[in-house]
Amino acid sequence: MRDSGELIAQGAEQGPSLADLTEEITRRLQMGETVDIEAYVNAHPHCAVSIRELFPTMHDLVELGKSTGHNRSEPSQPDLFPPPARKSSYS
Amino acid sequence: MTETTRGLEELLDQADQGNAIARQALLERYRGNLRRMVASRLDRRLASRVDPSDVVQETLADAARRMDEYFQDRPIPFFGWLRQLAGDRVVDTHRRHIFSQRRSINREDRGLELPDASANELVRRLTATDTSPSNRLSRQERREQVMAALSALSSRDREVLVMRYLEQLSAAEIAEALGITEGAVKARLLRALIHMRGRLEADS
Repeated sequence: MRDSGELIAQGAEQGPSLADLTEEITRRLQMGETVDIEAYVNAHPHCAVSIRELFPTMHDLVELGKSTGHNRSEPSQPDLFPPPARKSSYS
Repeated sequence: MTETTRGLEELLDQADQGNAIARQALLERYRGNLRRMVASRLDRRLASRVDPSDVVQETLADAARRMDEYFQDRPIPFFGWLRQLAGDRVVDTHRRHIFSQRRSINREDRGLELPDASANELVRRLTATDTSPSNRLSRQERREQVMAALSALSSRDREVLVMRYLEQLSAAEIAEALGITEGAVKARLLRALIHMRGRLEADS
């Protein structure tokens, strides 16, 4: 397992493609689709390691988002995150 | 420029010219997004007393009153401006309902933390439908780890992840709010994901 620094370096090298892929996977997970990660790995071998390592984190965050009840199509429940530290400077 | 972006620009132009219908449409366009934002930031202790929709309604009314002022120089993107107003309303709401009752919440100290009570409440919600005690415990532990990792990130990383995963804004909507390109949002999300993964890895 590589550290974050290595992943960031590789992510920068892979440029928009890895960013696009993680966004696509996130979107599909949020829509409730079953994502075949091996299919992504096979289709994008240059991003294979990063996809494998980042997928659990995406999954965790998507599950967190679903569980909060803030789904776009449903009324949400209050709470969970604190207010901003201070009021904005714009007035 | 996409059709959506073009439509928004037209609406902004009309609103800038004082068109009341356009202004109303502009505000309504963001009601749902603002509701999710407010709901994800209100303290659990206010659940029985504050409806996020009411906070959003106050925000939109405030925005309607101040729209002339905004359009004088449009200092930030409109959605970003609305989010600032909503954030201010959340701060005011906490001050009104919690600070005034001398409860032990210090906004300055806890502003960027996940309150324990909220985290516990989240975990309770997550596990409420689990029937297996072992599954429940496992899910609870994982959620606690994710919450802790998220709260330990830098504000820059955390904010973009909260917008994308909890508020469920699209990359395009985040770009609109932050006034940056969609590509820049995706890059920022990727970097935040990598940091989040590193944090989870370090904690486990």
